[in-house]
Amino acid sequence: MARSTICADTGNLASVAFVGADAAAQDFLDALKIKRIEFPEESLERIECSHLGTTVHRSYIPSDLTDPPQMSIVANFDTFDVPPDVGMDLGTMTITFPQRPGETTPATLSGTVYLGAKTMPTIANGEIMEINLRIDFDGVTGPTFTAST
Amino acid sequence: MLIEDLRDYLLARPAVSALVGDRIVPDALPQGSPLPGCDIEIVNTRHEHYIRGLAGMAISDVVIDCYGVTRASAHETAKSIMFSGVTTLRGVVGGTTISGIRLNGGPSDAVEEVDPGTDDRRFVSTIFLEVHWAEQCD
Repeated sequence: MARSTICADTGNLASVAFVGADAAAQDFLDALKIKRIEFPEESLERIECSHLGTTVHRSYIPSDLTDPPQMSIVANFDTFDVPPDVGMDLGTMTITFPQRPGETTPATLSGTVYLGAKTMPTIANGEIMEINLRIDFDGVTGPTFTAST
Repeated sequence: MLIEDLRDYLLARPAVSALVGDRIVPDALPQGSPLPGCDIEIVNTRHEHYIRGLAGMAISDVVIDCYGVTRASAHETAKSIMFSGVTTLRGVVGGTTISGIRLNGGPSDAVEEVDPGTDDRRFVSTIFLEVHWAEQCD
């Protein structure tokens, strides 16, 4: 399939699904109205391998293991469902990126996750209540990015 | 509709209706209306979104112009609306589900010439509300 003619896109109409989460969390996750998803920087430590013959710059090799990402999700807060407890198993999370014109299937990112942290909403006049969730990939399965086609 | 529901709420407040009777109208007071009276209109509406579309909440900027034959009369009408309890309004009001109302400004004063070249004027005190209300969600 050819690359989409739309080379830049916004996040509008992306979706997030959780399958196999702790039963106490599933209703909350299924009703989640997500406004923003942010990924942290992923990095590998570098191991110096300079020796007496090295000149100008120190030399490095990448380490073997990276920490799986901890995502930030901001969602409208709905008081109808109980937010999950920190540490709760959230099953397999799949983020589906917006499908662009000409594409058959959108890109996805998926992996097994748990709730690493949560911040209950600020309550103030004239401000939409938002809940902040830190979703941590556990590194057991994924995260795996599958490109759009 | 939001404007009609707000109007009906305000006209049901004795402190307001004692001054304006039933004279809170959408958009513009008819020419020659007895004063004091008010017109009410939405000047802008913003819509909350989440990544899948409309989140079900709209935020409307509502302007209420309060007219009087004297500055004091226009102010008195504006204050009767400001302190009518409208900023504590929440829940189903007529056909609109209101989440909250903020008083964003006012009274802001202006003068209109009724008869150009004469001292015949009417006085306007404007108040600005920000209304959060529920709309259909995607």
